[in-house]
Amino acid sequence: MMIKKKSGYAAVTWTAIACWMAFIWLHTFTYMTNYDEGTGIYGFLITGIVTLCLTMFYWFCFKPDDDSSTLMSILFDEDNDTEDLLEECGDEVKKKWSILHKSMLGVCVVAFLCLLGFAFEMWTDITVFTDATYISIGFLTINKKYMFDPILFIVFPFWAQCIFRGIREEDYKVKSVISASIQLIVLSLISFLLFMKLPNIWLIELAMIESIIIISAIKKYIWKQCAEKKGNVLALFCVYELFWCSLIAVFYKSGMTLSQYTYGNNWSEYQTNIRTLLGGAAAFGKSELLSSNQAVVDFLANRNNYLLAGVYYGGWVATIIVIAVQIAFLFATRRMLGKHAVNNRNYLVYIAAWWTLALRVLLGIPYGLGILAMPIGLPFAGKISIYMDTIALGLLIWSAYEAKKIDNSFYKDRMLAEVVGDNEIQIEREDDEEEIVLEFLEMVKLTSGDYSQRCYAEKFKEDKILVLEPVNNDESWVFMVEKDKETGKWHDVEDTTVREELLLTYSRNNKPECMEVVE
Amino acid sequence: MIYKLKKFLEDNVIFSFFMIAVLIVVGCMVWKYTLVKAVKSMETINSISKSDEESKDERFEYTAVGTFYHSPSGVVAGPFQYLYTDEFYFSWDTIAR
Repeated sequence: MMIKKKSGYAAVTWTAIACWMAFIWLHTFTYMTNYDEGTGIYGFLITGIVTLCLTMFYWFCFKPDDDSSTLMSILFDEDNDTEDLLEECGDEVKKKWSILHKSMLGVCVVAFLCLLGFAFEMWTDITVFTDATYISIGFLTINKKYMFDPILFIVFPFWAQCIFRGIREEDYKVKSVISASIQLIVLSLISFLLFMKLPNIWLIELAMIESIIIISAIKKYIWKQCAEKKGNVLALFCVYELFWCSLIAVFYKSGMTLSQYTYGNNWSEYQTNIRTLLGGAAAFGKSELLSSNQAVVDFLANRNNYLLAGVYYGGWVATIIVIAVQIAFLFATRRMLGKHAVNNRNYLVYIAAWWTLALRVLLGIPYGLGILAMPIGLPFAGKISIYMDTIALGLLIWSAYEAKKIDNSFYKDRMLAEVVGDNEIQIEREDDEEEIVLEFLEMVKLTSGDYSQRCYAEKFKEDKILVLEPVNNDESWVFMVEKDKETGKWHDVEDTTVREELLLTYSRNNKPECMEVVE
Repeated sequence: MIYKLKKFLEDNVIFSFFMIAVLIVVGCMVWKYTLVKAVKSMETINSISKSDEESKDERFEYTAVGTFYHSPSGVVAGPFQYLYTDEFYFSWDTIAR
């Protein structure tokens, strides 16, 4: 008897959602207790739910996939109407633009707009790069902090994956690698210029996430394909890292300590307050020692760190519970990327979203406890962060949904004789007009003795071989049967090589849209 | 058991919608009850701390060379000398990522 093995994406998704609600509860509690301004009991909850729903809706509408009708594909997919606009018109021969050419055009346009931005900042009231918080173009004012995360885990990884696909499309030629490297460096430079006025910790996070995106892209698109040229790949990556180091070093002055660079001058004061808070905390519940300490009360007032609020109001037990929930959230969201995450078309977007949340946990907890001078807030613990982190969570929920489809497309070979024994196999085509018949597939009914199963069938070798995939097949296994020339009876395909080829072809033909296999 | 429940809910769509509505209402009540209970059960920081205007007057000193922050612990912190952000003298919301 087959034992059903659950993929477990539903469980981890619900765990992540439960953790998300717990964080919003803690954030609301912190606002109600530590802040002077009122927010209401449901304010953050409604904000979070609306953001999550809108993220799912927009990603459903605009996510880049094989379907050329989506908005994203207008820029980067090959077969679409806009291709005509981008064709080079020769005398008679028309040459198609590659993905890298289109991407280079995009990079040039953005770079040109940035140059215009700089020029207009000098002569007009427009501010794009030189204001710490806002981009102001006439009546339009945009807070840069609302742009940071979407650029970090949607725009940059999406563009990077197009560039890496372009390298693969051009068969890893030196010319394409140079073009891609220039594009990635220009994109990183533009993102740096856009956010350079924000405190240094933002730039450090920008550098970390963009480097992780590049590492993930190399792992997916380059590493196995360029087995003999790994040295070149490493050298190029080192150049990219040196570039980022030089950008970050712009704001470093001699004599500055690491904590001064990342936090500011008063890190020791922050640590003193944290030590007082942790030292005076009770094991469980609120400590009278802390509530009578005016310095601690002033330190926590208007501070959006629910870990510290947990220490103050709930004691050590509450703090440990909050840390445990953070870690559970981290593992649950990592699992949501899927077992075959690297085969997802939008792998870079999802991995960037996960790392954005992961850094908040991995650096936010040590910072909250005064161990590390990296002022990164905990997940869902800020007015802007609650929107941005929820967008990241929405993307990860979508990733879990796609991961299930991808897992199901890893078909396993199974002999039909193991299921039906020596009984005669009969296969009848179903002529049900209501049934949705896919491009390659048709619906058949497989019967043998007492065994009866509806299957999707794909024909090979002039209908003499069928690959059968049972309907409602949780285990993703397929049967491969061929018709005997003499008797006309169906039996398992015996040749192992043929079976392997058939399995590969069937998997290729039936892979979901969200899946991308780099060979 | 789960499959039976799923099948039952699929077959009884109106009942499913009714259950969702009930669950939302119950969820909202639990959310409100737990928050109000937790907040009212203890003396909160915003009820102890001084008013915003008072603390601003005492803690921030605006001078011609920049804004200085006088912390409750007595340490005087000036503006960030090194960061490229003169306007971020001391504010949690603007420092932290």
